Amino acid sequence: MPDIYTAREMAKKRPKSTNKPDIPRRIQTEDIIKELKKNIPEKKAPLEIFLIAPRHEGFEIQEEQEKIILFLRPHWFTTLRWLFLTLVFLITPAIIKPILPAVFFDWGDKLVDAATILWYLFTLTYFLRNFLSWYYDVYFVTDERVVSIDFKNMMSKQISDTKIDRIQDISLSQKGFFQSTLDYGDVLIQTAAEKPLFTFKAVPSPKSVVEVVQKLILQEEAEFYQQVTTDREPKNA
Amino acid sequence: MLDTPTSISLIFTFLLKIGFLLLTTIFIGFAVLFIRQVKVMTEAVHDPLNPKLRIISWAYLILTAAIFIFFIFYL
Repeated sequence: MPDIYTAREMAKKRPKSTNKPDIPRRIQTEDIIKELKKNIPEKKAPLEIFLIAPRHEGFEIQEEQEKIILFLRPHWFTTLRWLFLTLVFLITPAIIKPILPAVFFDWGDKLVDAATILWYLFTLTYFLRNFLSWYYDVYFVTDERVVSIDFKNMMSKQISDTKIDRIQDISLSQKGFFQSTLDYGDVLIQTAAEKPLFTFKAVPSPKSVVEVVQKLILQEEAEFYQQVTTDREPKNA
Repeated sequence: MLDTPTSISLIFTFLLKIGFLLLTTIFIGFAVLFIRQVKVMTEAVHDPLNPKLRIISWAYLILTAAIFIFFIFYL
């Protein structure tokens, strides 16, 4: 009786799959960084809001081999409100001082000077508090995960992260004239993790951020496929 | 004997001085909190500006303390 099908012989004859993505992980991350640097000029000034593969920036829970691809801060336009108020507070004594004796009784020079000093101290406090709140409200995109660090007020710290392979959906939102003109907006990341929605608020160039995360997701999927294919390969007898 | 408007003025001035000293004390407390918060922030985020911001936070505390001492002698 002729053989209809012989598994062992078929296995020998079956050609090896050529569809496996076998590019090493490290090179792919470098490719992403190179492409970003081609499209966006590299900046090294302090107070930067968009840095590609920064060398000096990092975060507390960063792993040793983890490479930061993007470092983001809210766009400088979001600081205009408190900067403007700081300016108003600075010029207020010059406006109030001449009319103070008319409004209240004459305080005397010493008390007026003391009030002015306290007012400037308050202005400095207001500026420092808002500056720190903006400066340390940062987002990282690494080759492993996305990280959001936020200090809501002077008493609390919130560090949230999610692995790239747990990201289910990513989108961007640019509303209004200023966001469109200055190219900044929110990046919304839907995850399968404990925290279902990540928001990168008012980050510059949100389209680039979305593209980078999408490439990282593809990279993770390719690695997963490679791993599965390697596990399923029949061992030679 | 002081007339009533002058005595009210003196009491009000005295209360203002106490108020200023109290406010400065609150600012000193805030400066201490500020130093702690800057420490937490600089530990969470590694940035080239971190050492300068730590110095600024201490300078802020020294400034508020100096203003407090100045008010004690000046007012």
